[in-house]
Amino acid sequence: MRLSGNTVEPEFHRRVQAVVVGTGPGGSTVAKRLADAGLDVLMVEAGAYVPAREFSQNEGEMMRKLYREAGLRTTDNGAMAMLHGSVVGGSSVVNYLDCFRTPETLLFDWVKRFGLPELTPEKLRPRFEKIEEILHVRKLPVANLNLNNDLLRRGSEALGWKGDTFHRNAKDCYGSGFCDLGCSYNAKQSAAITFVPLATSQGATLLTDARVERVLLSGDRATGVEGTLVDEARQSRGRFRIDADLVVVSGGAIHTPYLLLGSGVDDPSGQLGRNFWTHPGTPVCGWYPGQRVANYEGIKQGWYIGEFSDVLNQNPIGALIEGIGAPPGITATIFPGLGLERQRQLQRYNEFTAAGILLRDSVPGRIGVGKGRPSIDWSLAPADAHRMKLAVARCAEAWLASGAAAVLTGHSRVTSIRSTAELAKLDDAGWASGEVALFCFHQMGTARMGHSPQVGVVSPTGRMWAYENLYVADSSLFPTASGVNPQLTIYALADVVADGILHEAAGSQLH
Amino acid sequence: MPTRPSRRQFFALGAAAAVLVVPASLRAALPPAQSRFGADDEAVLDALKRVLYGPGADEIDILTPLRETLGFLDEAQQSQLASLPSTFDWLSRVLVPTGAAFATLSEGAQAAALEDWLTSPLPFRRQVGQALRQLVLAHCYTHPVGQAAAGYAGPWLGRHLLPVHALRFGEPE
Repeated sequence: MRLSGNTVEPEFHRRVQAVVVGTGPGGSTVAKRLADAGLDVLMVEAGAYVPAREFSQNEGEMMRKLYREAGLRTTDNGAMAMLHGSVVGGSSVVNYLDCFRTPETLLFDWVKRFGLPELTPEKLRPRFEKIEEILHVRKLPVANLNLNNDLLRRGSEALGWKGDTFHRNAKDCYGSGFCDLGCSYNAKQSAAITFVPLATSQGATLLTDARVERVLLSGDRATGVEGTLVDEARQSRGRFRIDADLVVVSGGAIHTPYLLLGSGVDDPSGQLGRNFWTHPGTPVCGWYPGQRVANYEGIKQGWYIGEFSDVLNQNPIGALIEGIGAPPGITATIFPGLGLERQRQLQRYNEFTAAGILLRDSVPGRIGVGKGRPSIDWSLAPADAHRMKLAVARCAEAWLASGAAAVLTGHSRVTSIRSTAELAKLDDAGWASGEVALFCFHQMGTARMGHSPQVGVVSPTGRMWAYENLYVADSSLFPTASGVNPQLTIYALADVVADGILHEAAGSQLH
Repeated sequence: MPTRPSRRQFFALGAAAAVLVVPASLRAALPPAQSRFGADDEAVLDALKRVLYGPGADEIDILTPLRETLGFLDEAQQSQLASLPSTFDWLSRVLVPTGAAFATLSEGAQAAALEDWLTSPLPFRRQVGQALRQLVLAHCYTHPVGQAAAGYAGPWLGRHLLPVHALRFGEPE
């Protein structure tokens, strides 16, 4: 059953066995597992239910409808844009479908340093297999690369660098190229069309347009959640309260700690909101005069260079380079200059390729409670800026190797790089706030798992240490940055949490 | 027994007081927080559009979608964003010797003033400048006129030929 905060009674109250806050990969996985086990489950989603027929492929409209804060959220210092979904299905509705199993080297690190025995590659393998079957994960054939990604492949192969096509959660993909604005054809197997309906088909209820503002606590138990119902214009229209025997928070690595901190939870670890990992990214564009690249056409993200990844290839740079399609609204903010000068460059938009750096950050930020919204304390650490510069230089080399006449970076002070000799321009490019375009699509950490309250905010089963029945299930659980696109890891960790709930709480605590 | 502060201590105290008092007085003088753009804000945004987009800017309406965007934001972010143009304008007046409003400057002077913000050694000024630049440019190039000028095909033309499946939650759509 689906309910909307826009239409339910303005003082909405419900009692259930389990309430799950958030419907992204984490929340929907737990909701499905609990509903499968016969629990009365209610999923609460701050965003709207947007069916495929409403994905208009219009950049401005979809940014407002599908992204938190209309896609305008940034870190407190304005240095980096923070993009994440706020819609049924969460960020899985607006991602580029990339599916990496958690790299084994990373899992061994998590097992060893954080005492997480359930996260060995052997124990996670059957979970990944099960999730990949539901999400219809398949490897993209090279023949399906669009020209943008194929030029990245050619460049990296000419330089002898390791790379590959992505595994993607798509079924009958038409390659329309609007993945980030919601898939109009439901080819993308997002949580919205997989785990969420699987949960509702087992009796779970979905309440959309309902912003949870507080987890209700009593002693060592969570007793429910409460918040505001919003209308279509996202304005307040009433209040709601859900009483529950079990509370699962899956609001993502920004909103989960924001909600828990704002609710005054007891956190013996003192780590809640800390260890905020972001995979900071920056664009690198190649210019191919006279060639129609149209990087936004076809499958936008098809090829990645893994050569410089620490978790895939033990490279100290610690970055993935991924082909991306950049719609004009975003591209316009990357190109430097004013007025006619910048307009002339934009007229060559179709001749530009685009790739993004995904850096595995070494210095985390912190999420706190700001004035009516989360505070996001983050800046690019000098050591990470240095590694970012190296990754940008490698990406520029790949474009030049595949025939680019020039390379454009996201710096306001660097106009173009026309040869490898000009890569030195990056030394003076500037990485401080406002000097370079930085994007974050992956938010992780902030409620990390660990074997004790000294190490983790939550237990190895996702339970907050001071509470019998309060769990976290989303990317907040990551002990460190994953170094690869995180969606499969989120599904898998949520599956681990679901087992923990069913083992620890459901048997004995549910009334 | 208290002693008189030394000259060095006196200056240190003065500096500390200035650090505390100046931002407070600046905050008091800054335009008040608001939840929607005022006429002055819209004049600044329109002027920025002309400087950033260049020829043909008059064909692009960024104010309507910007107002719509504001409506989608949480209250806290609404007031932050809605006050940004006035803050930019107010601080520009302080920094520009003539004290004239940004929207009344010549296009050349506006371009110079904006460049000054974007390349300022002060992070705060760069951030405000970049935020406005990105906001205006993103709205220029999500407008059909801006997209056509860049050669972007816009929403995929073939989509109406393909079956659009509806999400199903066990009930008719």
